[in-house]
Amino acid sequence: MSGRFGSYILYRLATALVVLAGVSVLTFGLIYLTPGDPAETILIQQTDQHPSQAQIDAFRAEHGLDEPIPIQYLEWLSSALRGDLGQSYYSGRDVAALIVQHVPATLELAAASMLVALAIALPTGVLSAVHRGERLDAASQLAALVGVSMPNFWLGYLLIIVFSLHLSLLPVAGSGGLSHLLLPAVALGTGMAAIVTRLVRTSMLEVLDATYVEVARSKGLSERVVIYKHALRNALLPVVTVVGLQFGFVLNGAVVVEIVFQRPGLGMLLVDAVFARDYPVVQGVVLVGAVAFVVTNVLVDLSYRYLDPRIRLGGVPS
Amino acid sequence: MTGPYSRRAYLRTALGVSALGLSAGCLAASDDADPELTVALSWDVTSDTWTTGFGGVSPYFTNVYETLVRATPEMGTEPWLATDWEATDETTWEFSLREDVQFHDGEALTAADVVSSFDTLFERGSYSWLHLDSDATRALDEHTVEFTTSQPFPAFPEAITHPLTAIHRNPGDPGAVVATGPFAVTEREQGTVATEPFDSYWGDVPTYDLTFSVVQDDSTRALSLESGDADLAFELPRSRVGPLASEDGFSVERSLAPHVVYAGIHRYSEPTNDRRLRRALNHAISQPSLVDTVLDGLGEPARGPISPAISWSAHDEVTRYEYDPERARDLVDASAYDGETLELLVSTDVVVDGDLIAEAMQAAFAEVGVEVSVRRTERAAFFDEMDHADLSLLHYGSNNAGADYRIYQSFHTDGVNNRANYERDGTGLYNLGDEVDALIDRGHRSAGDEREAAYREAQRLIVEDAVVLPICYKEYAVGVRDGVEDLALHPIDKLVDLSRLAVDGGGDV
Repeated sequence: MSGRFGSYILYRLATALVVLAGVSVLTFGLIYLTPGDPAETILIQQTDQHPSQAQIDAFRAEHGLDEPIPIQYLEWLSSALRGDLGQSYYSGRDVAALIVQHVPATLELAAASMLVALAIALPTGVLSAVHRGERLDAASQLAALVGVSMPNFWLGYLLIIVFSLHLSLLPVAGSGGLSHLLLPAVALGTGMAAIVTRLVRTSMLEVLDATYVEVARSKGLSERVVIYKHALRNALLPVVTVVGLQFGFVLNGAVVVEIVFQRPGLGMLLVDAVFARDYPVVQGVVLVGAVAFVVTNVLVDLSYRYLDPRIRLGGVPS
Repeated sequence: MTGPYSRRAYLRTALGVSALGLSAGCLAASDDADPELTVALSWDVTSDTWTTGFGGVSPYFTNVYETLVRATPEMGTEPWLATDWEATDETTWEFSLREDVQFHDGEALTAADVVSSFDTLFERGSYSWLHLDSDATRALDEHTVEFTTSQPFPAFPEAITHPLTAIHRNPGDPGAVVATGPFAVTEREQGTVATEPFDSYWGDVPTYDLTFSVVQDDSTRALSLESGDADLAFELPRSRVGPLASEDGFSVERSLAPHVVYAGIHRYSEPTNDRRLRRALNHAISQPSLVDTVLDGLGEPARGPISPAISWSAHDEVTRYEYDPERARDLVDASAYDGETLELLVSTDVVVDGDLIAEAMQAAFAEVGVEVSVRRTERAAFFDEMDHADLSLLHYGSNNAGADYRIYQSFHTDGVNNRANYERDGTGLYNLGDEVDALIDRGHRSAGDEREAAYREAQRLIVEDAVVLPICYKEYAVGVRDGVEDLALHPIDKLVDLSRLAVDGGGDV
């Protein structure tokens, strides 16, 4: 069992590396296919004038942009493997340091928004399933539809107008504490809550029809115990998968929400870097995002074992 | 830790924290000797250091950093860290420094600091508009600096009103902010810069602390002001200017900027190389109605490529292309235009609301029988592609009093906008050729009336040739909370003096 588990981990690590290599090649290729020269873009901003060809050439030489693209990629890759993600063209700072500086704001936001999503979705989904076909169910379905249809930037403005402008309870923007985190987390978590609510409902409905739930009921257990101990636990499996996969959604949404709420996170760093054609920063952030995505997926797989002991991890080539 | 319990707890904690924060804010305001003002900026002044980034091009820096010469609100010059200056020959300038100036770290300002500031500038990049070589600055004595320009450049004192040329000390830490301005930085973290009055300032010491808060999103920045988080908000989006101005508790200050939005028309590619077509396009647009409808009146209808905020603008003298669709159609018919679709390049990163302006132009051109496709792109790609586009929607201006670089870069054959095409195809993009080149060169090398006359004549030729389609002179708006008075805007928004505000009660002040 442990040997098999070990080889499973190795297998997942190997596939993760292939995924990461693929992501880095794709990102590298895509940025270079995108029109726009970092030399020109960055020099205009720094010197308040369009650069001359000589300045552009000097910038390109300084940053190795005059090399063929495959060489540039290999140089980047060999540095990245040694933990050196390069320096920002724009600020000259180490990309790794920039990422470390911006990660906490995004992680906080991701965790808080997931918490918001689960806090809304689990009870709503369960109630909706238990009261299937009743008004409560219809109301929760409608709420989920509204939730998933609301763009998170729009919801962000709406929350600011209500909670900051009219109620004066929370600050409009910035970062620093729980008070700064709440509105962005709700803005980002609501869309996800809507998706997860529907999933919890469907999953619960399937489980509630299962024989073992009937058995639990026939043993005389209270409905509360039947639902929360027997049914919900089994219904959670697909929910865990989706919540794990939603991590990508969170990062994606964080880009927009961070801009609306002026949170200095990875999303904002990435957007600024893309517009400035600051290649090393784009590469670094995308790589870190990909690592986070892959690791989350592995963790999701591993969590299956604990949520459902019947599942044995397979798929390892022998 | 599931469901409603944790959510309740979380909300309770959050509300508690904000209540604490609010009361702490009120306490701080009532107990602290210096009231505190918060200014919301669109520009992230905290992502850069002096040696690596924009340094200087923002209101934060100009209230902390100072230049030798200051641009007046009339876009003239006034002595600042330098008391006076003179040209000792055609290319040599001597500047005498004030002797009572201290840096925020207590050190006295000397000529060596000026030299090292300019050296730092040139380590970062090349600034051809200063016409200075990298080693052209030297200290003659403790309070006299000599600059040698690479060509006769009488407008040099005006050029160094640009905030990039501010004087600072860099004692090894690139993140340190050590300058001479009325506010000294006390804390600088991502998104926020806290400052306090600099007690040893050589001028009037401000009476309040100033915090700069970066809020890049336009709507959120306006909401920060409305919620009381900020006392002033720069670069209000046009949609909030009217509502805020009529709302109780706020006012909106507006100023004409030395910036202009115009469409550059490719002078050397078919069919826009036909002047009749370029003039037709000019007659097809009604600038006043475009500014009123598309820009909600924020801006002034433009006639030329140089804003009237700049002293030598020829706004009143250039050819007026009245809105006249009939005449435009006749000119189109007479031109080499043959029904082809022209490309109008636009980027909202270059021109705010550029997409809306472009759509209005597209509709107006269709009225006179010219098909135009709008190509939207973002900033980085824009400058790559404008060399080939039939029309490019541009936004140019000056951050110094002289603005000489503006006309040179856009319309001189050797200007950076034209040079690539000139070197590649022998043409250029918006340059008219020898006559205008000579006028711009003369403007650059002369002073006073002669300079103005040369630049004005160049503008007359540029507009007559219709190589530009002027849209609007930019106006910017600052939202101000009641209780903050005496805000005097400067045409260059980066030079607004925030040290002389009158501040009374209310909010966090």
